[in-house]
Amino acid sequence: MKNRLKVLRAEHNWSQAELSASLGVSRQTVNALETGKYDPSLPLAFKIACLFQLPIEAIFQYDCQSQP
Amino acid sequence: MNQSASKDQSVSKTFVFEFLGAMIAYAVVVLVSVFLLNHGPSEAWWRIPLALTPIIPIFFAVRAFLRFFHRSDELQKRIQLEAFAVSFGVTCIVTFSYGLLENAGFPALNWTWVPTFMMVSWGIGSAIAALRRYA
Repeated sequence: MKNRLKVLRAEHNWSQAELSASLGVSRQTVNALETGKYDPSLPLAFKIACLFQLPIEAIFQYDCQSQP
Repeated sequence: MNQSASKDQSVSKTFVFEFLGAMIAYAVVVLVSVFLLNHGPSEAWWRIPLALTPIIPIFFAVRAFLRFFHRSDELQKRIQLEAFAVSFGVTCIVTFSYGLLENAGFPALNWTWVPTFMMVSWGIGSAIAALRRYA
């Protein structure tokens, strides 16, 4: 699953530490999300969407065609 | 500084403090227990409860880890779950293999080596999951 987290964070001029503080997760988690190594739980995805005031699908993109 | 980083550090520090405290207590209790068992009367009624006293600090070590697990965020919980899967699998394979080798004449090992091996493989599993998969 791809996401625009890094771009959105840069647009808000936030550091990973500031974003992790706002989300209540570790900086390692924010880093893993941004690099696409970890997909968030649904509650965390909603929390991210609420923080950026965007719908989830504007942040996370799931490619249905590439799945078997 | 920010709340999350300090919260992370606080969770980790609390775990290290509680876990190390329990393991130091374990080392002391097991030494005293073994000394008294080796130098005490062999028919004493208290030998069995005395032999089990090291379980008390181990209980606090397990409690420390469970508290750490419940206070961790979702990625850390996943890393720990993967580490436990590695630890479970490796310990099963190694202990079962050695059990079969005992049938071929290998010396019987003390059972206390099993949790020791589990903890070592858990640590290695944590490092692999954290560094290779999510770093």
